[in-house]
Amino acid sequence: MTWIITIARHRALDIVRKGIDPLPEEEQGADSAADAPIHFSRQEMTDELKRLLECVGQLDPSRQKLVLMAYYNGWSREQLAEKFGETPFVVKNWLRDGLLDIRPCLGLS
Amino acid sequence: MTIYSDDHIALAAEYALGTLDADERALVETMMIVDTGFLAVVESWDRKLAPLHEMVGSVEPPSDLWEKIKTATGLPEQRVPTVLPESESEKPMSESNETSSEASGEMQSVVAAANEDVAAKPPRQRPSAGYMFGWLMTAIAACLAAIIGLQSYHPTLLPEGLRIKPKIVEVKTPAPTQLIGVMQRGAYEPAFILTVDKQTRGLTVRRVGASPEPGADKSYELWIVSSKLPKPGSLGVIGESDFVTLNSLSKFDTDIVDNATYAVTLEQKGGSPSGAPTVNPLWAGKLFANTQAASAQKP
Repeated sequence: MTWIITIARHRALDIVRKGIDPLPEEEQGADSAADAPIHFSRQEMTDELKRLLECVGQLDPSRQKLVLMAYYNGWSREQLAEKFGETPFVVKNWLRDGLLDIRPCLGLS
Repeated sequence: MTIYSDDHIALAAEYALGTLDADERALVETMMIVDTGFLAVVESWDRKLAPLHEMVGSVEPPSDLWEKIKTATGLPEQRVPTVLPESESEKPMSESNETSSEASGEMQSVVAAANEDVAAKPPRQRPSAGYMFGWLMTAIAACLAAIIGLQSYHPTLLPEGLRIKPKIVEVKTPAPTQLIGVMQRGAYEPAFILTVDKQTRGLTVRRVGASPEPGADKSYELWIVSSKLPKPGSLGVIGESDFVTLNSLSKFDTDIVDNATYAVTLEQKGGSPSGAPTVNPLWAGKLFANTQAASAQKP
């Protein structure tokens, strides 16, 4: 299932980044994943998720939020910059530093 | 084994995270095709970040989605599977069986805050950016899951028809006569601008930011990269003058031309002798319909 989600996510990102509306407005149903409650506390976490969260948890709270908002919302640097009141260049550096910082923790060489 | 710079690793990580713009994504996708080592780096980040999806609640796809899939694939009525694969992440767990680690407990508030922000007000002019992304994720994942169920019946149905987008593009935009693409690295370094006439498939390359002299015994070479091609195809050497007109696109199908990634590499003088790129691209981009040009041509 993970690989399906990864493929779907990248496909969705490509569509969003190109600025193409995927469906007519009236067909965008109300039951969006973005609006759905996060109920992970009621789910059994995998070891991979626990490990990942421990690694992300090593970052400053604002950087944690930056990484998670990027993943869950599919936001670009420009959109994150607007949200955080910074320039895209600053956000780029935050993302770069944050991701490189957690790399050893994730076991990536 | 190739040792990648922090810049390359950060690029791969941001691709997996999803924060790159369209051109940067095209660049990474080109690098993934050319360099299997870099592909492995991207995939490793994809795998490490993917468990985050467990923290998202499942969403029922729209009731008419399955009908659309059937229509798009021409699926016969009697072959419709009635049950889709069940995701383990959707199985609820009792409240008493809480296994969240301390770190993940702290993370919960951060994620919840992020989610509240999405529900409250996405930050861009398009009011439903995060909303639409979530919807897209749901729809596409549902399509993919359905495809798996169908593979044993119609393995040849996997391709094109499953795309969600085409209907609207045709409705909302005037028929473009021209495609344009910017070859760039990042948002601020455009190097070449490509213009393609959709009818003749004539290709014009205008040099903007790239140096006219790439170096002694070196040439810029333009490539067309597509998953529908066995390998990147050379479109010719470019960059020595401000404008270069090429007819090398005419041998490629329109669908490939429209959707391919275009990349520029620095090759030996006169171009790669092997007919395949020898180094990672310096710049890359995709073509977009120039609807303004189409409108302007109308009286």
